[in-house]
Amino acid sequence: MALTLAETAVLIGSALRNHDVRAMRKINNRCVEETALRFQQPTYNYALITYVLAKILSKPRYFRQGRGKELLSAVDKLLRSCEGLAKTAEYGALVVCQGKILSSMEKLDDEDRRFVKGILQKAKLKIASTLYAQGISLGNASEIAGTDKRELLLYAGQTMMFDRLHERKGMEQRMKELREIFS
Amino acid sequence: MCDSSSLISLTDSCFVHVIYFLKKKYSGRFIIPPSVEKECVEQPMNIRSYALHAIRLKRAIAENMIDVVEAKAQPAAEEIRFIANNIFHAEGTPLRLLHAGEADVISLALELGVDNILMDERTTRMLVEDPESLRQHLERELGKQIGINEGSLSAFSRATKRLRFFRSTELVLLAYEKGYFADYKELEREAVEASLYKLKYSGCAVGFEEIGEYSRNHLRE
Repeated sequence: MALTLAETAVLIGSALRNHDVRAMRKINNRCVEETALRFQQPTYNYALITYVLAKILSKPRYFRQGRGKELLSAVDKLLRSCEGLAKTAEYGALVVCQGKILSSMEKLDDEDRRFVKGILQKAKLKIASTLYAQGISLGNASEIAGTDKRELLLYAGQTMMFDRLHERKGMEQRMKELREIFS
Repeated sequence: MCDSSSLISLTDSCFVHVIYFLKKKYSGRFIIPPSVEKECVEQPMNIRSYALHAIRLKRAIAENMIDVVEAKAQPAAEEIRFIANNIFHAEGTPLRLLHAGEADVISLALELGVDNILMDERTTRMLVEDPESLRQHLERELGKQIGINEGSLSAFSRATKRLRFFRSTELVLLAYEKGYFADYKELEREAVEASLYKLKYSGCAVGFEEIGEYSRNHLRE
């Protein structure tokens, strides 16, 4: 059964306080699946938040000089606000509050940037790629996740997703038809 | 008719000149709707890492290798999209699978009477060619029972039944058969096989097994 937005905030908060990366990833999977089934901005935002939090929790470099600890405590507070806003069905305010969480995590990553692509961009790309692998079209997956279609296509090419689903019509058959057209 | 997915794979793999090559050999046209031009030229022009790809395509359009053709009936694309996005449902909710850009390509092809579509994107192709396998795949991936709205499926299948899809891999193989790789001499077949893998890594929806099988049957001694 799908979790409510308030329940999701509670679960994320609990995984965060316990530094439980596995639990965080599990919540992320549920949020991504829910996004594929029926897109809602708050659910997608939770998918982004859980992806980034799982990354942060699993990398010690974020915790040097106490920066990570400060961030996690701020995120915990904001998650409680999210829970309250979801309970009172204030969805606009909920999205704003989730936005604050995402901005604070992005800021943490920016302070010690290692890659051209920031952690939030990476999260969007990863989620878009999962949606495409699940069967959502390339265009829809990139629109839902707010990522560039080109970037998504190139990322998908580095995965095994095209080997997990065999198409009935193969290269031989398509070539036969193409030769007829160009004969 | 070309979808943006194939143009992306071709430009990323430096194979835009396959279009030039085939265009010189045959009288056919490579057509794209304005939405594909926007996705492949206008938008990436402002992204540093993709600007070169966009420039390659912009030049191909300027040199009339690719024609941008506007659809007369915009509602047709919306109708196609609406029908496609009501074929499958889970827990009573229709699954929104197709994007406006993909629907644009299909509807423009139908409007112009074009049967052949170059598309590397997997979902749209499967929805037309093999919806049952796509349904089973969605069921496996989402862990939910996926139902079919038979009315929408038959309307979509009726509208799209004459469409034939090809990928950038087949286009490059065709070019190979017509001599595109001849310059490579004794390395020709290896270059072709490597090209197929490059296209796959650039996002063309083709499996390793498919490439391997083709290579074993046609490219290796």
